[in-house]
Amino acid sequence: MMRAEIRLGGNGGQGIILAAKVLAEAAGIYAGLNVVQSQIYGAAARGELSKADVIIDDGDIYTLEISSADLLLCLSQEAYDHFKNELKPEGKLVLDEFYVKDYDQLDKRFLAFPISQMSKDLAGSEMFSNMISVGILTVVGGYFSEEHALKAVEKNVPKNFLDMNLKAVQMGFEEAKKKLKKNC
Amino acid sequence: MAKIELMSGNDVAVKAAIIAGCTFYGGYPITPSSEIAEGMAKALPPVKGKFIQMEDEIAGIGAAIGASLTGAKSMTATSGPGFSLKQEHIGYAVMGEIPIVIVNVMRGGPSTGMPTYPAQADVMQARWGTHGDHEIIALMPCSVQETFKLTIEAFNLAEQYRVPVILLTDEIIAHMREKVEIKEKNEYKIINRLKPTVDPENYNPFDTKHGMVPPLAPYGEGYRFHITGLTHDHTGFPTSKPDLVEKLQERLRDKILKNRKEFDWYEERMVEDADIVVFAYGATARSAMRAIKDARRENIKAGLYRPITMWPFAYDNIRKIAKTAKQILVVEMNLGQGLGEVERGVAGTKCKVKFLGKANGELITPTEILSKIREVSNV
Repeated sequence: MMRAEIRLGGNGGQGIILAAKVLAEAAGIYAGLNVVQSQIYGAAARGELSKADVIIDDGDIYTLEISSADLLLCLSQEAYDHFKNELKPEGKLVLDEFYVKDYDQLDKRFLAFPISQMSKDLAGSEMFSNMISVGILTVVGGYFSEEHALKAVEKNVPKNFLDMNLKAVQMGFEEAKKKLKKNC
Repeated sequence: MAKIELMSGNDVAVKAAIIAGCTFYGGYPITPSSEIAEGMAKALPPVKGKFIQMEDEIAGIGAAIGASLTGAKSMTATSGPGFSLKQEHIGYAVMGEIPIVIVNVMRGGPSTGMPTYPAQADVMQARWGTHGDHEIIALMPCSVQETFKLTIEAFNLAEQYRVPVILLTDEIIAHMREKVEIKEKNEYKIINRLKPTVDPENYNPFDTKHGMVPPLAPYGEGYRFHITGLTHDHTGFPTSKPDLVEKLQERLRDKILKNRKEFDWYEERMVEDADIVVFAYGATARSAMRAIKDARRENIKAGLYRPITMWPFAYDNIRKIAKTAKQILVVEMNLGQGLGEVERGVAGTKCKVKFLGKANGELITPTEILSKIREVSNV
Protein backbone atom coordinates (compact mmCIF):
# COMPACT_ATOMS: atom_id res chain seq x y z
CA MET A 1 0.00 0.00 0.00
CA MET A 2 1.33 3.39 -0.95
CA ARG A 3 0.52 6.54 0.97
CA ALA A 4 2.39 9.76 0.38
CA GLU A 5 2.00 12.96 2.33
CA ILE A 6 3.21 16.11 0.62
CA ARG A 7 3.30 19.47 2.35
CA LEU A 8 3.95 22.74 0.55
CA GLY A 9 4.95 25.69 2.70
CA GLY A 10 5.66 29.24 1.69
CA ASN A 11 4.36 32.76 1.96
CA GLY A 12 0.96 33.94 0.77
CA GLY A 13 1.34 35.01 -2.86
CA GLN A 14 3.90 32.38 -3.83
CA GLY A 15 1.21 30.25 -5.41
CA ILE A 16 1.54 27.12 -3.34
CA ILE A 17 -2.18 26.41 -3.27
CA LEU A 18 -2.24 26.29 -7.07
CA ALA A 19 0.87 24.09 -6.99
CA ALA A 20 -0.87 21.73 -4.55
CA LYS A 21 -3.93 21.61 -6.77
CA VAL A 22 -1.78 20.74 -9.79
CA LEU A 23 0.00 17.95 -7.88
CA ALA A 24 -3.37 16.64 -6.66
CA GLU A 25 -4.83 16.60 -10.16
CA ALA A 26 -1.74 14.93 -11.60
CA ALA A 27 -2.02 12.18 -8.99
CA GLY A 28 -5.80 11.93 -8.76
CA ILE A 29 -7.10 12.60 -12.24
CA TYR A 30 -4.22 11.66 -14.52
CA ALA A 31 -2.39 8.95 -12.55
CA GLY A 32 -5.66 7.51 -11.22
CA LEU A 33 -4.64 7.48 -7.55
CA ASN A 34 -6.75 8.67 -4.65
CA VAL A 35 -6.05 12.12 -3.35
CA VAL A 36 -7.06 14.62 -0.69
CA GLN A 37 -5.89 18.20 -1.00
CA SER A 38 -6.37 20.81 1.68
CA GLN A 39 -4.88 24.09 2.81
CA ILE A 40 -4.79 26.53 5.67
CA TYR A 41 -8.05 28.31 5.20
CA GLY A 42 -8.61 31.94 5.88
CA ALA A 43 -6.17 34.71 6.54
CA ALA A 44 -3.05 33.71 4.60
CA ALA A 45 -2.57 37.17 3.21
CA ARG A 46 0.28 38.05 0.89
CA GLY A 47 3.53 37.60 2.76
CA GLU A 48 2.18 35.49 5.61
CA LEU A 49 2.90 31.83 6.23
CA SER A 50 0.83 29.62 4.00
CA LYS A 51 0.49 25.85 3.74
CA ALA A 52 -1.10 23.39 1.38
CA ASP A 53 -1.21 19.61 1.76
CA VAL A 54 -1.63 16.78 -0.71
CA ILE A 55 -2.23 13.21 0.42
CA ILE A 56 -1.86 10.53 -2.25
CA ASP A 57 -2.87 6.92 -1.72
CA ASP A 58 -3.58 3.91 -3.90
CA GLY A 59 -6.32 2.92 -1.45
CA ASP A 60 -9.07 4.83 0.38
CA ILE A 61 -7.95 7.86 2.35
CA TYR A 62 -9.18 7.95 5.94
CA THR A 63 -6.55 10.08 7.62
CA LEU A 64 -7.34 13.52 6.27
CA GLU A 65 -4.46 15.39 7.85
CA ILE A 66 -0.70 15.19 7.58
CA SER A 67 1.18 14.60 10.80
CA SER A 68 4.63 14.29 9.24
CA ALA A 69 5.33 14.66 5.55
CA ASP A 70 7.10 12.35 3.14
CA LEU A 71 7.88 15.29 0.93
CA LEU A 72 8.12 18.84 2.21
CA LEU A 73 8.57 21.99 0.12
CA CYS A 74 9.74 25.17 1.83
CA LEU A 75 9.70 28.32 -0.26
CA SER A 76 10.40 30.63 2.65
CA GLN A 77 12.50 30.73 5.80
CA GLU A 78 9.34 30.99 7.86
CA ALA A 79 7.93 27.86 6.23
CA TYR A 80 11.16 26.00 6.94
CA ASP A 81 11.26 27.11 10.57
CA HIS A 82 7.63 26.16 11.00
CA PHE A 83 7.48 22.80 9.24
CA LYS A 84 11.00 21.34 9.38
CA ASN A 85 10.11 19.10 12.33
CA GLU A 86 7.05 17.71 10.58
CA LEU A 87 9.06 15.61 8.15
CA LYS A 88 9.42 11.84 8.34
CA PRO A 89 12.92 10.54 9.17
CA GLU A 90 13.17 9.07 5.68
CA GLY A 91 11.30 12.01 4.10
CA LYS A 92 12.63 14.51 1.58
CA LEU A 93 12.88 18.26 2.00
CA VAL A 94 12.94 20.52 -1.03
CA LEU A 95 13.87 24.09 -0.23
CA ASP A 96 14.30 27.33 -2.09
CA GLU A 97 17.82 28.37 -1.11
CA PHE A 98 17.11 31.84 -2.46
CA TYR A 99 14.88 32.48 0.57
CA VAL A 100 15.78 29.73 3.01
CA LYS A 101 19.25 30.74 4.15
CA ASP A 102 19.29 29.36 7.63
CA TYR A 103 18.86 25.60 7.55
CA ASP A 104 20.48 22.48 8.92
CA GLN A 105 23.22 21.70 6.42
CA LEU A 106 23.83 18.34 8.03
CA ASP A 107 20.26 17.18 7.46
CA LYS A 108 20.70 14.55 4.75
CA ARG A 109 17.08 14.86 3.70
CA PHE A 110 17.33 18.27 2.06
CA LEU A 111 17.62 19.11 -1.61
CA ALA A 112 18.29 22.81 -2.13
CA PHE A 113 17.41 24.61 -5.35
CA PRO A 114 17.57 28.35 -6.07
CA ILE A 115 13.90 28.15 -7.07
CA SER A 116 13.07 31.87 -7.02
CA GLN A 117 16.29 32.72 -8.85
CA MET A 118 15.46 30.09 -11.47
CA SER A 119 12.08 31.75 -11.97
CA LYS A 120 13.74 35.16 -12.33
CA ASP A 121 16.16 33.75 -14.88
CA LEU A 122 13.30 32.20 -16.78
CA ALA A 123 10.83 35.07 -16.78
CA GLY A 124 12.29 38.02 -14.94
CA SER A 125 9.99 37.46 -11.97
CA GLU A 126 9.34 35.01 -9.19
CA MET A 127 5.92 34.26 -10.60
CA PHE A 128 6.86 30.77 -11.75
CA SER A 129 8.47 29.52 -8.52
CA ASN A 130 5.39 27.45 -7.83
CA MET A 131 5.46 25.64 -11.18
CA ILE A 132 9.22 25.06 -10.99
CA SER A 133 8.44 23.51 -7.60
CA VAL A 134 5.78 21.28 -9.17
CA GLY A 135 8.43 20.02 -11.60
CA ILE A 136 10.93 19.34 -8.83
CA LEU A 137 8.39 17.62 -6.58
CA THR A 138 7.20 15.46 -9.46
CA VAL A 139 10.68 14.08 -10.00
CA VAL A 140 11.73 13.88 -6.36
CA GLY A 141 8.43 12.31 -5.28
CA GLY A 142 8.06 9.94 -8.21
CA TYR A 143 4.39 9.34 -7.37
CA PHE A 144 3.24 10.10 -10.92
CA SER A 145 4.88 10.75 -14.27
CA GLU A 146 6.12 13.98 -15.79
CA GLU A 147 3.40 13.70 -18.39
CA HIS A 148 0.72 13.57 -15.67
CA ALA A 149 2.16 16.74 -14.16
CA LEU A 150 2.21 18.55 -17.51
CA LYS A 151 -1.42 17.62 -18.18
CA ALA A 152 -2.45 18.92 -14.77
CA VAL A 153 -0.61 22.20 -15.39
CA GLU A 154 -2.37 22.58 -18.70
CA LYS A 155 -5.73 22.17 -16.99
CA ASN A 156 -5.04 24.65 -14.20
CA VAL A 157 -3.20 27.66 -15.55
CA PRO A 158 -4.54 30.46 -17.76
CA LYS A 159 -4.03 29.83 -21.47
CA ASN A 160 -2.01 33.03 -22.03
CA PHE A 161 0.59 31.84 -19.55
CA LEU A 162 0.56 28.15 -20.44
CA ASP A 163 3.84 28.14 -22.38
CA MET A 164 5.78 29.81 -19.62
CA ASN A 165 4.26 27.55 -16.99
CA LEU A 166 5.11 24.43 -18.95
CA LYS A 167 8.66 25.72 -19.39
CA ALA A 168 8.86 26.32 -15.65
CA VAL A 169 7.70 22.79 -14.82
CA GLN A 170 10.16 21.33 -17.30
CA MET A 171 12.92 23.41 -15.77
CA GLY A 172 11.96 21.82 -12.45
CA PHE A 173 12.12 18.33 -13.95
CA GLU A 174 15.60 18.94 -15.37
CA GLU A 175 17.13 20.55 -12.31
CA ALA A 176 15.73 17.86 -10.04
CA LYS A 177 17.11 15.10 -12.25
CA LYS A 178 20.54 16.75 -12.30
CA LYS A 179 20.51 17.11 -8.54
CA LEU A 180 19.38 13.54 -7.90
CA LYS A 181 22.10 12.21 -10.20
CA LYS A 182 24.74 14.24 -8.39
CA ASN A 183 23.53 12.99 -5.02
CA CYS A 184 23.71 9.34 -6.02
CA MET B 1 -20.28 9.80 -19.81
CA ALA B 2 -19.10 10.11 -16.26
CA LYS B 3 -16.46 12.70 -15.56
CA ILE B 4 -13.93 12.53 -12.75
CA GLU B 5 -13.06 15.88 -11.27
CA LEU B 6 -11.05 17.16 -8.36
CA MET B 7 -13.39 19.36 -6.34
CA SER B 8 -14.02 20.67 -2.85
CA GLY B 9 -17.19 19.88 -0.90
CA ASN B 10 -18.49 23.41 -1.33
CA ASP B 11 -17.82 23.43 -5.08
CA VAL B 12 -19.52 20.10 -5.54
CA ALA B 13 -22.61 21.23 -3.61
CA VAL B 14 -23.02 23.91 -6.27
CA LYS B 15 -22.63 21.40 -9.08
CA ALA B 16 -25.16 19.05 -7.48
CA ALA B 17 -27.67 21.82 -6.80
CA ILE B 18 -27.70 22.75 -10.47
CA ILE B 19 -28.15 19.10 -11.49
CA ALA B 20 -31.00 18.79 -8.98
CA GLY B 21 -32.71 21.67 -10.77
CA CYS B 22 -32.01 24.51 -8.36
CA THR B 23 -32.80 27.86 -10.00
CA PHE B 24 -32.65 30.19 -7.03
CA TYR B 25 -30.10 31.02 -4.37
CA GLY B 26 -30.65 33.64 -1.72
CA GLY B 27 -27.98 34.11 0.88
CA TYR B 28 -25.32 36.05 2.64
CA PRO B 29 -21.73 34.86 2.46
CA ILE B 30 -20.19 33.45 5.61
CA THR B 31 -17.03 31.43 6.24
CA PRO B 32 -16.67 28.50 5.68
CA SER B 33 -19.62 28.27 3.32
CA SER B 34 -18.88 31.31 1.12
CA GLU B 35 -17.68 29.27 -1.86
CA ILE B 36 -21.22 27.95 -2.23
CA ALA B 37 -22.58 31.49 -2.61
CA GLU B 38 -19.73 32.37 -4.96
CA GLY B 39 -20.27 29.22 -7.00
CA MET B 40 -24.01 29.67 -7.24
CA ALA B 41 -23.53 33.27 -8.39
CA LYS B 42 -21.56 31.87 -11.32
CA ALA B 43 -23.61 28.75 -11.96
CA LEU B 44 -27.15 30.10 -11.85
CA PRO B 45 -27.26 32.72 -14.64
CA PRO B 46 -26.32 30.19 -17.38
CA VAL B 47 -29.32 28.03 -16.39
CA LYS B 48 -31.58 31.10 -16.27
CA GLY B 49 -31.58 30.98 -12.50
CA LYS B 50 -31.30 33.86 -10.08
CA PHE B 51 -28.71 34.55 -7.42
CA ILE B 52 -29.39 37.26 -4.88
CA GLN B 53 -27.03 38.31 -2.15
CA MET B 54 -29.39 39.68 0.47
CA GLU B 55 -28.68 42.17 3.23
CA ASP B 56 -28.30 39.50 5.89
CA GLU B 57 -28.75 35.82 6.74
CA ILE B 58 -32.41 36.16 7.65
CA ALA B 59 -33.25 37.86 4.38
CA GLY B 60 -31.20 35.22 2.54
CA ILE B 61 -33.41 32.37 3.63
CA GLY B 62 -36.48 34.60 3.34
CA ALA B 63 -35.72 35.15 -0.32
CA ALA B 64 -35.16 31.42 -0.81
CA ILE B 65 -38.54 30.67 0.76
CA GLY B 66 -40.26 33.26 -1.41
CA ALA B 67 -38.63 31.90 -4.55
CA SER B 68 -39.67 28.37 -3.66
CA LEU B 69 -43.29 29.49 -3.45
CA THR B 70 -43.08 30.62 -7.06
CA GLY B 71 -42.13 27.07 -8.00
CA ALA B 72 -38.34 27.40 -8.06
CA LYS B 73 -36.09 24.85 -6.41
CA SER B 74 -34.40 27.04 -3.94
CA MET B 75 -31.32 27.01 -1.75
CA THR B 76 -29.33 28.92 0.80
CA ALA B 77 -26.04 28.15 2.55
CA THR B 78 -24.58 29.32 5.79
CA SER B 79 -22.47 28.46 8.78
CA GLY B 80 -22.80 28.42 12.60
CA PRO B 81 -23.93 31.91 13.61
CA GLY B 82 -25.64 32.43 10.26
CA PHE B 83 -27.53 29.20 10.82
CA SER B 84 -28.71 30.62 14.16
CA LEU B 85 -30.13 33.64 12.36
CA LYS B 86 -31.97 31.46 9.88
CA GLN B 87 -33.82 29.43 12.49
CA GLU B 88 -36.96 31.53 12.61
CA HIS B 89 -37.47 31.13 8.88
CA ILE B 90 -36.68 27.42 9.00
CA GLY B 91 -39.68 27.15 11.32
CA TYR B 92 -41.71 29.16 8.84
CA ALA B 93 -40.75 26.75 6.05
CA VAL B 94 -41.76 23.82 8.28
CA MET B 95 -45.13 25.37 9.06
CA GLY B 96 -45.79 26.69 5.56
CA GLU B 97 -44.56 23.38 4.08
CA ILE B 98 -42.16 25.16 1.76
CA PRO B 99 -39.41 23.09 0.11
CA ILE B 100 -35.94 24.59 0.50
CA VAL B 101 -32.41 23.29 0.97
CA ILE B 102 -30.20 24.83 3.65
CA VAL B 103 -26.52 23.92 3.61
CA ASN B 104 -24.86 24.52 6.96
CA VAL B 105 -21.09 24.16 6.92
CA MET B 106 -20.32 23.69 10.60
CA ARG B 107 -17.57 25.70 12.29
CA GLY B 108 -16.58 26.31 15.88
CA GLY B 109 -19.01 28.11 18.20
CA PRO B 110 -20.87 29.39 20.20
CA SER B 111 -21.41 32.79 18.58
CA THR B 112 -18.83 33.73 15.95
CA GLY B 113 -16.54 31.13 17.56
CA MET B 114 -13.86 29.93 15.16
CA PRO B 115 -14.81 30.84 11.60
CA THR B 116 -12.03 28.97 9.83
CA TYR B 117 -11.81 25.86 11.99
CA PRO B 118 -13.87 22.70 11.78
CA ALA B 119 -16.48 21.54 14.25
CA GLN B 120 -19.64 19.49 14.37
CA ALA B 121 -21.24 21.94 16.70
CA ASP B 122 -24.62 22.36 15.04
CA VAL B 123 -26.00 18.85 15.27
CA MET B 124 -28.49 19.94 17.89
CA GLN B 125 -29.07 23.34 16.34
CA ALA B 126 -30.16 21.53 13.18
CA ARG B 127 -32.56 19.46 15.25
CA TRP B 128 -33.98 22.02 17.67
CA GLY B 129 -32.74 25.41 16.48
CA THR B 130 -36.20 26.49 15.50
CA HIS B 131 -38.87 26.43 18.14
CA GLY B 132 -41.99 24.36 18.44
CA ASP B 133 -42.63 20.68 17.96
CA HIS B 134 -41.35 19.76 14.58
CA GLU B 135 -39.46 17.11 12.70
CA ILE B 136 -36.57 18.03 10.45
CA ILE B 137 -34.47 16.16 7.91
CA ALA B 138 -30.70 16.64 8.17
CA LEU B 139 -28.12 14.76 6.08
CA MET B 140 -24.40 14.50 6.86
CA PRO B 141 -21.80 13.66 4.20
CA CYS B 142 -18.33 12.27 5.00
CA SER B 143 -16.67 12.92 1.65
CA VAL B 144 -16.81 15.24 -1.32
CA GLN B 145 -18.46 12.50 -3.38
CA GLU B 146 -21.14 12.04 -0.74
CA THR B 147 -21.69 15.80 -0.53
CA PHE B 148 -22.56 15.64 -4.20
CA LYS B 149 -25.01 12.79 -3.71
CA LEU B 150 -26.66 14.19 -0.61
CA THR B 151 -27.12 17.66 -2.08
CA ILE B 152 -29.24 16.10 -4.82
CA GLU B 153 -31.08 13.99 -2.24
CA ALA B 154 -31.69 17.08 -0.09
CA PHE B 155 -33.50 18.72 -2.99
CA ASN B 156 -35.42 15.51 -3.70
CA LEU B 157 -36.58 15.14 -0.10
CA ALA B 158 -37.49 18.83 0.16
CA GLU B 159 -39.63 18.55 -2.96
CA GLN B 160 -41.15 15.20 -2.11
CA TYR B 161 -42.22 16.08 1.43
CA ARG B 162 -42.62 19.87 1.14
CA VAL B 163 -40.08 20.50 3.86
CA PRO B 164 -36.88 22.40 4.54
CA VAL B 165 -33.96 19.95 4.37
CA ILE B 166 -30.62 20.63 6.01
CA LEU B 167 -27.34 19.45 4.53
CA LEU B 168 -25.06 19.42 7.56
CA THR B 169 -21.47 19.42 6.46
CA ASP B 170 -18.25 20.51 8.15
CA GLU B 171 -15.30 22.76 7.34
CA ILE B 172 -13.05 19.82 6.48
CA ILE B 173 -15.35 18.17 3.96
CA ALA B 174 -16.35 21.59 2.61
CA HIS B 175 -12.82 22.76 1.86
CA MET B 176 -10.80 19.68 0.99
CA ARG B 177 -10.52 18.59 -2.59
CA GLU B 178 -11.18 14.99 -3.58
CA LYS B 179 -12.03 13.08 -6.69
CA VAL B 180 -15.69 13.12 -7.61
CA GLU B 181 -17.49 11.17 -10.27
CA ILE B 182 -20.15 13.23 -11.97
CA LYS B 183 -22.45 11.59 -14.47
CA GLU B 184 -24.75 13.11 -17.04
CA LYS B 185 -27.71 14.92 -15.52
CA ASN B 186 -30.25 12.41 -16.83
CA GLU B 187 -28.55 9.58 -14.93
CA TYR B 188 -29.70 11.01 -11.60
CA LYS B 189 -33.14 10.55 -10.13
CA ILE B 190 -34.62 14.01 -9.71
CA ILE B 191 -37.87 14.51 -7.82
CA ASN B 192 -40.12 17.50 -8.44
CA ARG B 193 -42.88 18.67 -6.14
CA LEU B 194 -46.44 17.65 -6.84
CA LYS B 195 -48.48 20.38 -8.48
CA PRO B 196 -52.26 20.61 -8.11
CA THR B 197 -54.52 19.18 -10.79
CA VAL B 198 -57.57 21.12 -9.61
CA ASP B 199 -58.62 24.53 -10.94
CA PRO B 200 -57.30 27.59 -9.12
CA GLU B 201 -60.70 28.33 -7.57
CA ASN B 202 -60.88 24.84 -6.04
CA TYR B 203 -57.30 24.76 -4.80
CA ASN B 204 -56.44 24.51 -1.13
CA PRO B 205 -52.73 24.63 -0.29
CA PHE B 206 -53.06 22.24 2.66
CA ASP B 207 -55.61 19.83 1.27
CA THR B 208 -54.74 16.32 2.46
CA LYS B 209 -57.37 14.43 0.51
CA HIS B 210 -54.71 12.56 -1.44
CA GLY B 211 -52.09 12.06 1.21
CA MET B 212 -49.95 13.62 3.87
CA VAL B 213 -48.13 15.91 1.43
CA PRO B 214 -50.51 18.32 -0.30
CA PRO B 215 -49.67 19.48 -3.85
CA LEU B 216 -48.08 22.93 -3.95
CA ALA B 217 -49.11 25.45 -6.59
CA PRO B 218 -46.55 27.99 -7.73
CA TYR B 219 -47.43 31.63 -7.23
CA GLY B 220 -47.78 33.32 -10.55
CA GLU B 221 -49.83 30.70 -12.35
CA GLY B 222 -53.24 31.91 -11.21
CA TYR B 223 -53.45 29.99 -7.95
CA ARG B 224 -54.11 32.49 -5.18
CA PHE B 225 -53.57 31.20 -1.68
CA HIS B 226 -52.49 32.20 1.77
CA ILE B 227 -49.38 31.01 3.59
CA THR B 228 -48.83 31.83 7.24
CA GLY B 229 -46.61 30.91 10.14
CA LEU B 230 -49.74 30.63 12.26
CA THR B 231 -51.48 27.31 12.67
CA HIS B 232 -53.89 27.02 9.81
CA ASP B 233 -56.56 24.87 8.22
CA HIS B 234 -56.59 23.35 4.73
CA THR B 235 -57.23 26.76 3.13
CA GLY B 236 -54.05 28.21 4.57
CA PHE B 237 -55.90 30.72 6.76
CA PRO B 238 -55.19 30.82 10.49
CA THR B 239 -57.09 28.67 12.90
CA SER B 240 -56.64 27.89 16.57
CA LYS B 241 -59.33 25.22 16.78
CA PRO B 242 -57.69 22.50 18.89
CA ASP B 243 -58.84 19.61 16.72
CA LEU B 244 -57.59 21.21 13.50
CA VAL B 245 -54.32 22.32 15.11
CA GLU B 246 -53.74 18.84 16.48
CA LYS B 247 -54.33 17.30 13.07
CA LEU B 248 -51.90 19.74 11.48
CA GLN B 249 -49.18 19.14 14.07
CA GLU B 250 -49.50 15.39 13.74
CA ARG B 251 -49.43 15.47 9.96
CA LEU B 252 -46.33 17.70 9.88
CA ARG B 253 -44.64 15.17 12.15
CA ASP B 254 -45.96 12.04 10.47
CA LYS B 255 -45.17 13.02 6.90
CA ILE B 256 -41.52 12.84 7.92
CA LEU B 257 -41.49 10.12 10.59
CA LYS B 258 -43.76 7.69 8.77
CA ASN B 259 -41.68 8.05 5.62
CA ARG B 260 -38.32 7.90 7.36
CA LYS B 261 -37.63 4.37 6.15
CA GLU B 262 -37.53 5.80 2.62
CA PHE B 263 -34.39 7.75 3.53
CA ASP B 264 -32.89 5.71 6.35
CA TRP B 265 -29.32 6.17 5.14
CA TYR B 266 -26.39 4.93 7.18
CA GLU B 267 -23.16 3.01 6.78
CA GLU B 268 -21.98 0.07 8.83
CA ARG B 269 -18.48 -1.37 8.79
CA MET B 270 -17.58 -4.61 10.56
CA VAL B 271 -20.49 -4.22 12.96
CA GLU B 272 -21.79 -7.84 12.93
CA ASP B 273 -19.19 -9.31 15.30
CA ALA B 274 -18.03 -6.07 16.90
CA ASP B 275 -17.63 -5.74 20.65
CA ILE B 276 -17.21 -2.01 20.31
CA VAL B 277 -18.96 0.06 17.68
CA VAL B 278 -17.79 3.60 16.99
CA PHE B 279 -20.61 6.05 16.28
CA ALA B 280 -19.21 8.84 14.09
CA TYR B 281 -20.32 11.03 11.22
CA GLY B 282 -18.93 13.58 8.74
CA ALA B 283 -15.16 14.10 8.67
CA THR B 284 -14.83 12.38 12.05
CA ALA B 285 -16.12 9.15 10.52
CA ARG B 286 -13.18 9.12 8.12
CA SER B 287 -10.78 9.03 11.08
CA ALA B 288 -12.94 6.36 12.68
CA MET B 289 -12.72 4.16 9.57
CA ARG B 290 -8.95 4.12 9.96
CA ALA B 291 -9.14 3.59 13.72
CA ILE B 292 -11.39 0.50 13.56
CA LYS B 293 -9.09 -1.10 10.98
CA ASP B 294 -6.10 -0.49 13.21
CA ALA B 295 -8.03 -1.80 16.22
CA ARG B 296 -8.87 -5.01 14.35
CA ARG B 297 -5.17 -5.46 13.68
CA GLU B 298 -4.72 -5.44 17.45
CA ASN B 299 -7.46 -8.07 17.76
CA ILE B 300 -9.99 -5.63 19.15
CA LYS B 301 -13.32 -6.33 17.51
CA ALA B 302 -14.24 -2.79 16.49
CA GLY B 303 -16.85 -1.60 14.03
CA LEU B 304 -18.33 1.64 12.77
CA TYR B 305 -21.86 2.96 12.54
CA ARG B 306 -22.09 6.16 10.54
CA PRO B 307 -25.43 7.96 10.38
CA ILE B 308 -25.93 9.68 7.03
CA THR B 309 -29.48 10.72 7.80
CA MET B 310 -28.81 12.36 11.16
CA TRP B 311 -32.33 13.66 11.72
CA PRO B 312 -34.80 12.18 12.33
CA PHE B 313 -32.47 10.07 14.46
CA ALA B 314 -32.46 6.30 13.80
CA TYR B 315 -32.95 5.03 17.36
CA ASP B 316 -33.90 1.60 16.00
CA ASN B 317 -30.55 1.20 14.26
CA ILE B 318 -28.74 1.98 17.50
CA ARG B 319 -30.96 -0.41 19.44
CA LYS B 320 -30.11 -3.17 16.98
CA ILE B 321 -26.38 -2.60 17.45
CA ALA B 322 -26.84 -2.42 21.23
CA LYS B 323 -28.21 -5.95 21.20
CA THR B 324 -24.92 -7.41 19.93
CA ALA B 325 -22.18 -4.91 20.79
CA LYS B 326 -20.90 -4.48 24.35
CA GLN B 327 -20.08 -0.81 23.90
CA ILE B 328 -20.79 2.08 21.59
CA LEU B 329 -18.14 4.79 21.45
CA VAL B 330 -19.56 8.13 20.32
CA VAL B 331 -16.91 10.27 18.59
CA GLU B 332 -17.81 13.79 17.52
CA MET B 333 -16.28 17.25 17.14
CA ASN B 334 -18.47 18.69 19.88
CA LEU B 335 -19.01 18.09 23.57
CA GLY B 336 -21.68 15.43 23.24
CA GLN B 337 -24.54 16.40 20.94
CA GLY B 338 -25.06 13.01 19.34
CA LEU B 339 -24.20 11.27 22.61
CA GLY B 340 -27.60 11.80 24.23
CA GLU B 341 -29.41 10.40 21.21
CA VAL B 342 -27.26 7.27 21.23
CA GLU B 343 -27.99 6.87 24.94
CA ARG B 344 -31.71 7.04 24.17
CA GLY B 345 -31.16 4.40 21.51
CA VAL B 346 -29.44 1.92 23.81
CA ALA B 347 -31.77 2.53 26.77
CA GLY B 348 -32.91 -0.75 28.30
CA THR B 349 -30.06 -2.81 26.85
CA LYS B 350 -26.80 -3.86 28.50
CA CYS B 351 -24.72 -1.93 25.98
CA LYS B 352 -22.55 0.82 27.50
CA VAL B 353 -22.05 4.19 25.85
CA LYS B 354 -18.62 5.85 25.92
CA PHE B 355 -17.62 9.23 24.59
CA LEU B 356 -14.75 10.99 22.84
CA GLY B 357 -15.49 14.60 21.97
CA LYS B 358 -13.48 17.67 21.10
CA ALA B 359 -14.50 21.24 20.41
CA ASN B 360 -11.13 22.98 20.03
CA GLY B 361 -11.03 23.37 16.26
CA GLU B 362 -9.01 20.21 15.66
CA LEU B 363 -10.10 17.17 13.72
CA ILE B 364 -10.19 14.06 15.89
CA THR B 365 -7.39 11.85 14.56
CA PRO B 366 -7.43 8.08 13.97
CA THR B 367 -4.75 7.75 16.68
CA GLU B 368 -6.93 9.49 19.26
CA ILE B 369 -9.87 7.26 18.42
CA LEU B 370 -7.71 4.13 18.54
CA SER B 371 -6.36 5.14 21.96
CA LYS B 372 -9.89 5.59 23.24
CA ILE B 373 -10.96 2.24 21.77
CA ARG B 374 -8.04 0.59 23.58
CA GLU B 375 -8.87 2.41 26.80
CA VAL B 376 -12.54 1.45 26.90
CA SER B 377 -11.78 -2.11 25.74
CA ASN B 378 -9.35 -2.45 28.67
CA VAL B 379 -6.50 -3.43 26.38
